[in-house]
Amino acid sequence: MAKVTIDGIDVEVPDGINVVEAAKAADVHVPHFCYHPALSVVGQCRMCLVEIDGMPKLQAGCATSVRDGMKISVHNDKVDKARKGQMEFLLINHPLDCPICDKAGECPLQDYSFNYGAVASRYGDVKRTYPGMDRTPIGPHVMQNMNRCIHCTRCIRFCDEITGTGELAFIKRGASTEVGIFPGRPVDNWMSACVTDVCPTGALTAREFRFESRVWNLESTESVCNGCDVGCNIFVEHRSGKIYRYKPRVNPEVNDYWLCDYGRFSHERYETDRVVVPRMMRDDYQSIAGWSEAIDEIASRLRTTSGDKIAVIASSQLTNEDAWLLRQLFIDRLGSKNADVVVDDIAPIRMKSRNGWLEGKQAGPNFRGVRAAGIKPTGGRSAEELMTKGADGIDVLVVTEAAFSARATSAEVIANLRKARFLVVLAWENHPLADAADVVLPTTIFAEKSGTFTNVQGRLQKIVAGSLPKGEALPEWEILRRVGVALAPDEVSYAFSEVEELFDQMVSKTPALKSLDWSGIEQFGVTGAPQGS
Amino acid sequence: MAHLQPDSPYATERFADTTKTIAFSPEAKAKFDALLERYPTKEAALLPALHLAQEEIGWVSPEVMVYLAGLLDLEPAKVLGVVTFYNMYNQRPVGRHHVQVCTNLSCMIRNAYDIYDRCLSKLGIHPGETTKDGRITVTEVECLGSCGTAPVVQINNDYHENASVESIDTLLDTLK
Amino acid sequence: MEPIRVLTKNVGKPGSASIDTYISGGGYESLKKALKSTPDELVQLVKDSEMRGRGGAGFPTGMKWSFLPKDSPKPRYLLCNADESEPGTFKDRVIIEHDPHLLIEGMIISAFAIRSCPMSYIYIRGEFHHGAMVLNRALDEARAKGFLGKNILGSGFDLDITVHRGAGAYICGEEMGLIESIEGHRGQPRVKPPFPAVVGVFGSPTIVNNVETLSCVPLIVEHGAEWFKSFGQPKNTGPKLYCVSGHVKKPGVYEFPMGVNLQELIYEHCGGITDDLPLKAVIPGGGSAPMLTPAEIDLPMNFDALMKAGTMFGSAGIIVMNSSTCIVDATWRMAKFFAHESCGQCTPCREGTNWMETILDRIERGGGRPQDADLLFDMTDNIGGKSLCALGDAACGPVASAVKKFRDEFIYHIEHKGCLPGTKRYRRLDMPVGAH
Repeated sequence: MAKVTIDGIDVEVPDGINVVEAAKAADVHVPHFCYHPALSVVGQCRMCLVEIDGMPKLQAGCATSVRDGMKISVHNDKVDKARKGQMEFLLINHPLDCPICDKAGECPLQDYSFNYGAVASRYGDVKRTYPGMDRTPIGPHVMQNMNRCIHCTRCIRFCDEITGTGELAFIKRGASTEVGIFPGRPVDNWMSACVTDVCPTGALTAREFRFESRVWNLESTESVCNGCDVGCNIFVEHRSGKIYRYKPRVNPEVNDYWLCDYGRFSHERYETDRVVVPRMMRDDYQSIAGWSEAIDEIASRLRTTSGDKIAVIASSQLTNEDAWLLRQLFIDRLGSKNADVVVDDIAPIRMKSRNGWLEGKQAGPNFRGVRAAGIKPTGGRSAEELMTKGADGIDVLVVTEAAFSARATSAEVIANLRKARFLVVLAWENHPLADAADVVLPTTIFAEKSGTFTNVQGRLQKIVAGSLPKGEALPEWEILRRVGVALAPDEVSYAFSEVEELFDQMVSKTPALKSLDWSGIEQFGVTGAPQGS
Repeated sequence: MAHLQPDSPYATERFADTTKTIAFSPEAKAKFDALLERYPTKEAALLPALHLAQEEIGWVSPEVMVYLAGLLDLEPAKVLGVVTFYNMYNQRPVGRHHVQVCTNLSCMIRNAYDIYDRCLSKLGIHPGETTKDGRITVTEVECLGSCGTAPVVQINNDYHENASVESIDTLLDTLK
Repeated sequence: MEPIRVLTKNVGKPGSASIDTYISGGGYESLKKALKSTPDELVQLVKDSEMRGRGGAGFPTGMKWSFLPKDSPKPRYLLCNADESEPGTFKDRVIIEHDPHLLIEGMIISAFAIRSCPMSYIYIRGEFHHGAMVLNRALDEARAKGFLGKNILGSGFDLDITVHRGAGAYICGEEMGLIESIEGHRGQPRVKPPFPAVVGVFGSPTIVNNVETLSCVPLIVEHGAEWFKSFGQPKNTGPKLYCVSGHVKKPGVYEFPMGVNLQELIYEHCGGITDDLPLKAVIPGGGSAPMLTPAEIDLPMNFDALMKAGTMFGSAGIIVMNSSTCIVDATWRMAKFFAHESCGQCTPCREGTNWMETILDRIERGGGRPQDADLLFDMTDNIGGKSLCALGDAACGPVASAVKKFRDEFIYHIEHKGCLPGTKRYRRLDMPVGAH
């Protein structure tokens, strides 16, 4: 450890870390553009210049390692003058078009110009522009406006060092230097939109998000991507129930600063025709039903059959809490021998954590957690059998998500599942399987409910409801709870109203999670959660 | 995906057809292979390989960049970055005689701009342009390291030192 | 002070570039001598000579060599910086073209001294096509004589040298830019630390020395450190090549002991000022060096004296300007050079050099504004000492000194929208802008 003094504050920091990182210990922010903790240090933007006692010249904070006894000034007249100078250089050729820029509101260049920008410009000459590069799509997801670029090379280093695809490079030199692709070789890698995150200006923006919303008008909710089993940490950015974008949320153990394009844009699946009220099949026609009516019908069907004739197909989108209650109700109480969980395979998606690469191979976030909760057939029929051979002889089949698999849209699978005498389908979108059901129940999407997922590492991570459920939709656990209450009105374990209480029930009966409480799930998740396969 | 805009003409406007393929002549390929022996990494052979390619076809075309990127296991963008960084790689074809007039301080105060002007006006071209017959390209360059014999004009690989408007005038006529 | 012929002793001999001429003058004897001593002794010898690098920064060569980490398992590289591009500098070219074996012998001895791996590189600027040819021919001769290759002269030391041609970028003369360029990248200097002696070319410890520096090494080995120190002043030792260009009657490369008087050099050895006009300004150490006025030039040309005078010795490229020179025009030309040669990676240099050029050009064109002189001067403070490599500082040298020392002329130019009477601009303003 090294004892250093930063703006008069004594702190102890690990040896060898750079000044930008060390200053965080003293709660001092060193302005910077080109420095990024996950990328190599290049010292180009010169914003992080600091004064170090004993050194005649100002030093770049990103490229200077701390030594014991170092005295560092992040803010003094000399440093501030230098920083204002750099800010002036960066802004003389910048278009200053914040009012029409999608980065405005989350733009370091904009933020620092409040602190270090001059009120009046000393620049009285023509601004440099890059004709033909002011709204150039340089990849399927990335739009470039070179006029806004401050040449920090974060995007270039991202493509070189993280994805290793190297599509971007500095082209030309001096004041004409531009960031560009080789024509015909777009920035088309599986994490390409991350360059828009690392870009500290509006030079690179995500094509999907351009002109969609001002960022300060969005609500941001901490969550976990449900695209695959890696479970990248994200912010769900939404307004009035519409998700506008996902942004990566730093978790060094999982996704570090990154998010893959597949996951990032997977919220587009929710821009669809949602199921908003329960429906029941009456005379070959599904009509709107009330919740209690639908739940009572399901309960009465369940009451009149036996465990070997009850089947459940669970989705890998269920939270651990959903799955725990599902098992408690259908397996423990009703004795179903035919409960199973299904997940589709996907082409492996690689994600770089700080400790190495993770690989997502499942199309749902929580297959392992659902399986570990005990959702597996016990001497009965598997979901695969029901889908391929038909659900003949099953009295009640409950599917927890219509889109539990891509195969659920096939006419053959639907016909096979329809062979159950009574088909209950939970769904958030209109789906052919839901159309075939006796009862359709509207469920929330993951952004409208809270719970936990267990990722590929066995890491328990929290998702948090950000927006209100659409229409009359309910989270799966609430639907299951209501069924439970209908079956056993006096059972105390169904007497809860918040998912936190359900979570407490779950951990109290899961040895591996013992002593965990809802608010104790740390920012980066908790490892060691049970995983099923 | 919302708001997808049509792809910009940027790529096609600025660059030639990269679907064309190109390759070193056997002699140049042998030189290239020998080059690789001189460096511990393949990438290090990029600058000499670009010189080699330029000697062969006179300029570094996009096809050359793609070809060399393939030979050296590089992304074409990196080759483009290198080509555009250095002055000597011609990014468009140049004339048979590339007249490069140094106008840096030592040459300037010995009237290099008069020579430069004379070259352009005599040939009727703008800076960096090539005469219609493909004979001569004229560019202004920075210090050529021949200030003691200023002004200096480099024509292809050769220096013409202690140049004057008259000497260049005569010289231009002899360039075929 | 009289000119000497130490480094240039072979220059002018018939066939001076051939190995036979070189050997007949005692060449490669120093190599034989050096291979009989140990690398550590050679490093100590160079340290004792107090030689300072001839490339511009003037860092003591022996000390630079001793910075190589002792325990690194990686190969060590010796790179020769022959990217002579500093405006007003043309000394290395004389050695390369007229006495290449002096450089090669110096490189072999130096490589042995620093325990180099079996490959060294000469990074020669791409425009020196002839120089590269001469060097390659000389290297072939040296290989044929067994001075290069495996087990040189039975010493067990292996070395070969590759000539690596640059392709037109001043910044590749900066050692980190040079290293990047050899690796096949854009010549953008890397941020230090780590310094090249620790992590240089191909991730290995690297020493980068100038042509003239390496060429001094055989002389030190031959005659000893004390002999070397007998030239010049304490801490500023050895023979030195001076390049004089611009408005002097006899421009060229002159060899003197370190510390020749600048005034004497210009007026006596170079025959005085062209057209016998009064002297106006002198750039003493290559284009990066702040200008000196006629009143300031009575000083010895060495590292310390010029630093004391507020300028720098640099590469000893002396550019002389007589009274007919418009100082705004001359300053613009230097600013244009640095703007053109800025690699573009760091903020102050990329934006600042271009801005300075823009302002100076505007003043030349009669569009000067009253605040421009102050703005230029303040800008040099925002660039100088703030840039990633020394190019930013270099760009400020001529601008800051010109604005400070010739402020009245700047003000005149701004107010009268034209040159001071008696001075002239060397370019036509209606010329199309160069596309290079």
